Amino acid sequence: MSERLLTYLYQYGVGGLVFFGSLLLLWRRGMLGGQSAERRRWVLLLLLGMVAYAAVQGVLQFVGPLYDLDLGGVW
Amino acid sequence: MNGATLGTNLDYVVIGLYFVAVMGFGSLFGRHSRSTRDFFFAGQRFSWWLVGLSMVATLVGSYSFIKYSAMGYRHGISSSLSYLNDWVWMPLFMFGWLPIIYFARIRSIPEYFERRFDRRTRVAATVILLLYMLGYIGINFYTLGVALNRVIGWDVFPTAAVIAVGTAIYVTAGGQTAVIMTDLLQGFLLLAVGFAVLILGFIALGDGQVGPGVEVFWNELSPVQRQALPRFNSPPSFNFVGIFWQDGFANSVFFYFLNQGVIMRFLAVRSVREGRKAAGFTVLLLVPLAAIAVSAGGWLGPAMVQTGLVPADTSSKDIFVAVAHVLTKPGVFGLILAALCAALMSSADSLINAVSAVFVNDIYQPFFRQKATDAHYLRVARVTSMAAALVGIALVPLFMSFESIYRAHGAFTAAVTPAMVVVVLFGFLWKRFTPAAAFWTLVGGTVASAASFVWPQLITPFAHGTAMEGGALKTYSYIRALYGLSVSTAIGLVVTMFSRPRDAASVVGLVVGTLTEAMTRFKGSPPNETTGRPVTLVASVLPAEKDTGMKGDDDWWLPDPEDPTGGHRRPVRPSVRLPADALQTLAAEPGDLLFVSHPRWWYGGLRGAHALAGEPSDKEALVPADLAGQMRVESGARIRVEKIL
Repeated sequence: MSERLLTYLYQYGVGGLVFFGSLLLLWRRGMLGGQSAERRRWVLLLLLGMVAYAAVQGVLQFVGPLYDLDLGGVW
Repeated sequence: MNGATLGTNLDYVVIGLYFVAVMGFGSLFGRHSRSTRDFFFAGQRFSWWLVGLSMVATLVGSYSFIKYSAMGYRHGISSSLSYLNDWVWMPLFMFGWLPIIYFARIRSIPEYFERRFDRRTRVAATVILLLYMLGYIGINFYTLGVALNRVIGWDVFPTAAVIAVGTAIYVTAGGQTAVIMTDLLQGFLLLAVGFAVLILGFIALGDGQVGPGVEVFWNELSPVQRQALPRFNSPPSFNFVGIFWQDGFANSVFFYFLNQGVIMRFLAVRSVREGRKAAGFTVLLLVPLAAIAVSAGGWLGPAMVQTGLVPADTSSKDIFVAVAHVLTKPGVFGLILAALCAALMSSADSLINAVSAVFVNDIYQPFFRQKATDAHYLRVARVTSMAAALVGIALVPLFMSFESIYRAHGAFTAAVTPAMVVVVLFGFLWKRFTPAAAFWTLVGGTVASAASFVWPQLITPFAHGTAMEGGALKTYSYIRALYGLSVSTAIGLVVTMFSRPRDAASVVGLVVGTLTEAMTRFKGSPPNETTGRPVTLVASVLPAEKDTGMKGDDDWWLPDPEDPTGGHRRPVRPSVRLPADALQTLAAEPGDLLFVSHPRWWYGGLRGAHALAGEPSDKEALVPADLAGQMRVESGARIRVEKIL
């Protein structure tokens, strides 16, 4: 396993345990908000936030090192 | 680099003007601090965006531009990692911790420790937090003094002292409201300066064009420098696994769950819902922007050295100032220096206000004057704010003379953080976690972490292959957090097995799974969570003699006899009478908790207050005179009403 993959898996493996474990615990204890529609919106936002962080760091981690940048005269 | 040669008279004028402007701006809000609830929690009236934006300045300390630019110069994009691993904690913060401390009317972290555990745990937490915060105030003043000394040759102590006094003046005058409003201003400056450096750097690298500059910047970074995450376990001074456990776990939890200044900021919102929005806004959008702003100077460094814009022998700790100086003209460079001052003031002001809150709430009130008027406690709070700043100043010469003291504070923080983190997480997540376990986890975890400075080999089994090097107090500096967290967790589990938990009734509202009871206690009646929409109405201000009796918050300090967890009384709240159709739109019933404010959104709640819904009125909103005074509206003016609970 490459070092780049190892660090990424560690970040989102252990971090994911905290994140999804927290969601599960809070859901089981009825702490995820009152109204169901509002609860769904918050859970969706939390998940989208996690995906956004994972995507940005994933691109920089795996794609960034491989390619030089050529904007082809844009800007 | 000879720092004393940088900067012109125009730059110094810009710094001076900025400093005076912030001090004056902050002091303006003195009139909004009429009670301790105003002074410490800004009357709990603010909107999410105002609290979120002001958090940027709190996140960025006086050393951040120098430190993270140095990291960015040496290690590239991964310097942002310390900022970018908070999101995993947001479910627990937004839906676990925040509602608990808000609805339980917690005023300080040590107070939670007594109500959830016992008095000795509160005393231990008070001592730890005060030592941490007072030392940290001194460190902020000291590091800025050192930075300005390197750049423009000003003496460290007088520089630190002047900034400390200025900060203390506006905090003493305006309390949390001044902190939030000045931090809002300073947060904008910090982001603007960071991004200005980045864009000016692209333009300089691209000979006047941004696009080619971006290409040069990126292509001069090595493959490892382009990665989001650093190498797994090397070098010992900057590796992924250590940063993950120290910053991603221990420090992130400490910052959001235990940092008194941050907690007070999130308690300054008008509702838990606003607090959640503020947290999401901060961590999802503003924290990444702050990470870019503080690292940008360093990220540009390799390309600027390669193209000859910055001397090749520039050290990493000088890279931010060197890059900024090259890119800016006189006057603009002054703004960069003002941003360094802003970073200091915005961290120090939160800490000063936080020290004051802990002193009044956890030392003065329980041990010296249990029953005094709110005005008395407010006076003590103001005096304590000044005293906290003075202690911070007094620490500067100490740090200057004895670097070991400066380092010892860092070691102290590293030793206490894991234990505090484990206690607070177990405390609100695990009802069975006992007072004895909390106390001994704090003591034992701290001692175990402290022992690892003497015997670093204790950490080796947790080190993930990180080399044991770095010298005194620095060996295993990052991965020590995992060792501390593991030992503290083990102590907490074992002592819990052999000791008695508190009875369930005495922890209601202080642990997850008891939210409804907590909301009921907070509101004084069962919560109404039906979704409604805010309304804007024409106000009719009641004459003072028909006032509904908002007499200030004198009772706020006294215990609530109905609260078995030892909480404080509810603040006294006025009633507003709204037309029946408005109540229907709000989905509110008489007795529900409302927030009434000036209709202009950009006040962010500054001109607003909580009120209870009274019996329906015929046509207009009947508003008591004192409440109208807080909003500064008269009869015939429009007001905005939203239901809170």
